[in-house]
Amino acid sequence: MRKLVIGVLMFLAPAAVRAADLPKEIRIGVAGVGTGNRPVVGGAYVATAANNGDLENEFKKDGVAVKYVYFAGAGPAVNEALANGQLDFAYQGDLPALVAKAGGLPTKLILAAGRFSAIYIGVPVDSPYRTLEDLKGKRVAVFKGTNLQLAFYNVLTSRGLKDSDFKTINMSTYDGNAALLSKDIDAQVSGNDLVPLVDRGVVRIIYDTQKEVKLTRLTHVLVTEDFEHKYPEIVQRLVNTLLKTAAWESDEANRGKVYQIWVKSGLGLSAWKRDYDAFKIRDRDSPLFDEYYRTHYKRLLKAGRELKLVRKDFDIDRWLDPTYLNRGLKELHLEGVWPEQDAEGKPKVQLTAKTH
Amino acid sequence: MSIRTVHRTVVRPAGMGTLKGFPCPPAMVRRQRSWRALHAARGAVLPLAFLAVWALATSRGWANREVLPTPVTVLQTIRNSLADAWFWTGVWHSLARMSAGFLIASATGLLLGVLLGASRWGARLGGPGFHAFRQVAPFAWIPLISAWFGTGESTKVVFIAVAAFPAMVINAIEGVQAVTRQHSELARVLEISRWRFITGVVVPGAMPQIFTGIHLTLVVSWLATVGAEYFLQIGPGVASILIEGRALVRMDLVLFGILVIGLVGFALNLTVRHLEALVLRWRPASAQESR
Amino acid sequence: MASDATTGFGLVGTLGRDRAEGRSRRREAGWARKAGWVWRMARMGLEVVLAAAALPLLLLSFWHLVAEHHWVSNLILPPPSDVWRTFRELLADGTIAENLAISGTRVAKGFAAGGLLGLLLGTALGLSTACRAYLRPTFISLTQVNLLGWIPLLILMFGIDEPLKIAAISWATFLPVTFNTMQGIAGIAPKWFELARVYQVRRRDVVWRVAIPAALPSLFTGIRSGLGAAWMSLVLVELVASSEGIGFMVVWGRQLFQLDLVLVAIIVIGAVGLTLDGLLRAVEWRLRRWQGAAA
Repeated sequence: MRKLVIGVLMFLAPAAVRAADLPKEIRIGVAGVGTGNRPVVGGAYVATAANNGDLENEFKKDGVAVKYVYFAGAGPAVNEALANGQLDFAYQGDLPALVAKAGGLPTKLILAAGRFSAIYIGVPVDSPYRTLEDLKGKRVAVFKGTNLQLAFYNVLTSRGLKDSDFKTINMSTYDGNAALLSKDIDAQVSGNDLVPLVDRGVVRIIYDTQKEVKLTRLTHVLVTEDFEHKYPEIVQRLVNTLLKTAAWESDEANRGKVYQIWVKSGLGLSAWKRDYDAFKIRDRDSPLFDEYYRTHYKRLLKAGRELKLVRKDFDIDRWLDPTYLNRGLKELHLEGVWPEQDAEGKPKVQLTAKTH
Repeated sequence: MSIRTVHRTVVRPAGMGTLKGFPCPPAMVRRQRSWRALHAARGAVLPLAFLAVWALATSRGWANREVLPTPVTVLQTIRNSLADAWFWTGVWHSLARMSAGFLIASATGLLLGVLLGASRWGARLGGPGFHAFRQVAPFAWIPLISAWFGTGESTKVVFIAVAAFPAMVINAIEGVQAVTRQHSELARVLEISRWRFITGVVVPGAMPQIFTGIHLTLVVSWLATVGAEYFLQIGPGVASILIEGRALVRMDLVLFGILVIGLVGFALNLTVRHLEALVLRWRPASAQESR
Repeated sequence: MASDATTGFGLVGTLGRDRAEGRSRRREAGWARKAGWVWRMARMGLEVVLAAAALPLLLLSFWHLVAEHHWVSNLILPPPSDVWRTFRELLADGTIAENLAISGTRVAKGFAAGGLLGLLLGTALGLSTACRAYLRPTFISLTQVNLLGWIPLLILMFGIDEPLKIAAISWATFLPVTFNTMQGIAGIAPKWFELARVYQVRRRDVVWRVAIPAALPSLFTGIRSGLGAAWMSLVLVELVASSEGIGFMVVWGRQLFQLDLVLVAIIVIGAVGLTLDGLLRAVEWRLRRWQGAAA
């Protein structure tokens, strides 16, 4: 009798443990919204996966729901949610993540998402300003706390300018676009959301950092240390699913389809073409924590510290945790799909393996 | 400007009309009544004039068509929005949030107000702190509240409660203090227990002022609701009309939003005033005089 | 009996002694009474200050406890020491002074504009029933909508620069000042006007010498509410669209998740608000005393 009970318990125990291994739902915060506040974004494989429902499909069989939360307040709003334990994962930009980590938020980066993301400085089409120096003393809208701010400050530093040379006003991308149209501001620092306005003929871009790698932005996927401790297998499965999406996306044959998916965010095709045509998607959305990514993040941390945006120093190498990434690459045989990039953003080795 | 018009209460003997204070025959009364109606409509002159200027300005193109829509456009927007279910969802959500915040604000405000008003030591301990707290513009608390409560509904409700609660406290304090010293002396003479004194004398005596407090708290709750939705743009709500109007540079949406906010506020005002009249009707005349 | 002897002789003696004692006692009592009065006032003052400080001190210690034991993450509730340090730093490098100056000028301009207009319109409304009949309904309905509702409209009209902020603050001041002035003047007892009429006082003097002094308490309440409203609306406007100022410090702190900065800004806002209110109350009190003495 006793043996039977023990036997049954031993049979049930793994099931119980397995049940405890699964969360009820996975909450992913996205630092951004689509046009008109719609809960869809484009750019990078995270957006593609969200659009395709890859993660939902992966976890459906275990009865784990996947909830995406889109924040109009971008990175800073994601930080607030993370600090309150309302999110498990986040797709975010560099500055807010640095700020939060320096402030003591226990997070870990598990995947690189986007790099070489340029900033564009747009002015109303009939404005007399041609260069950044012309805008001295004028009203420039910058979404403070996001990676746009840090990139903008890096641009200023590279040209010997300071934040106090301008009247920088905090505005979300959406508000900034509207303010640009109504000429309430003289210029806006933003991403490729300015391109539709250029197409409409109401905005002119006077400067962009596409060619200057050191002045671009990074995005990533991070996980809270709490969730990672509790459900490491879930983290691995999430990473694997996203890597599969990333591999599909990095195939140049799929570029057209990828753009079509990103267009659903409300930003037209021209915006994505302008931002991505100059690069191979494989290079822009590489998930690797290679030399470029690490060095650039360290550069950004240093800049953030100098500008007093980030409060403390911390170890970037420990923060970027490649264990899940590497395991995923091995399990899915995706090594070699993405070339490692050196500190200047150039690929280190020639690509030989084919993507599948 | 006529000094005589400062005091113009007319005492009317029954059956007779008056014209400028003198009794007069019914024919003149009829004329005077229509005249009085016109007098009452004087308040509408300014809005009507404004509407006329607006219509003219847009039809003649004095103002930029992009920025200033025609009155007809605004009416169309109103009609379209009223038919849209999304608008009514927004209104419902806003009212729900407001009610939650209002209830919390009134309950805590009443408790704190009675404490601060009735007890001298209570006033000494809590008064200065409360006074200092009141000096901070409610909206300044939004970043803190959103950092402390995250990005869900609770942030908005907490903000509404925080913004509306001072109004209740102040009126409750005044109400409690309005219970005259004679009442408290009488109570002491009759040796009524502290508890019965509070429930039987203080609270009913303070009722008129407490109702004013409820009224004000409701008004502030509504304004705080709109403010919370404007700054913490998550979830449906009335303020999204304003937000969209501003973002899309559509003045008609903005005007519609303002109209909605004003009308709901007005409706709430009216409801509370009626409730007040109903409840306080049973109060003796003296209590109403003490207001 | 010994007592008789003492009484008999002592009565006279004691009388004398008593009188001397009485005099010295009265002198002592005089001093003691004065000293006692000072002592009592000091004690009462101390009581008030201690009582006032009790709650904030309690909150402060609770806050310190929470932060020290990390019951809430330090990111969400920075410890008091952090806030104090940030405050000192910002005070030292002039950030607070600079931002306060900018905010202060905005409030001053808006308050002056709105207050003046409010006084003018309020007087007109208070004195003339006809004026009231035409304007009051519109005025009351405009007050139904909070400043926040007007801001998008104001932005469309004025843009987001200084004019917007001055306009918003003026509007916020204008409403309570007008309302209280109107109430004050309309509520003046008719007998004063009758008296003025009897003495055939000129219209201008009626306004200056009769209406305004009699309405002064309400006027002052209006001005005080106006200043409070101006200060509050400043924060609101700076939260919406600004690039400098004390309200902007709150926004900056929020965007960069530096809640100690937010707390410093909030404390400064509260302190300035208290000071302004206190100042006006003091002025009002002096005026009342002068008015009471004159009457």
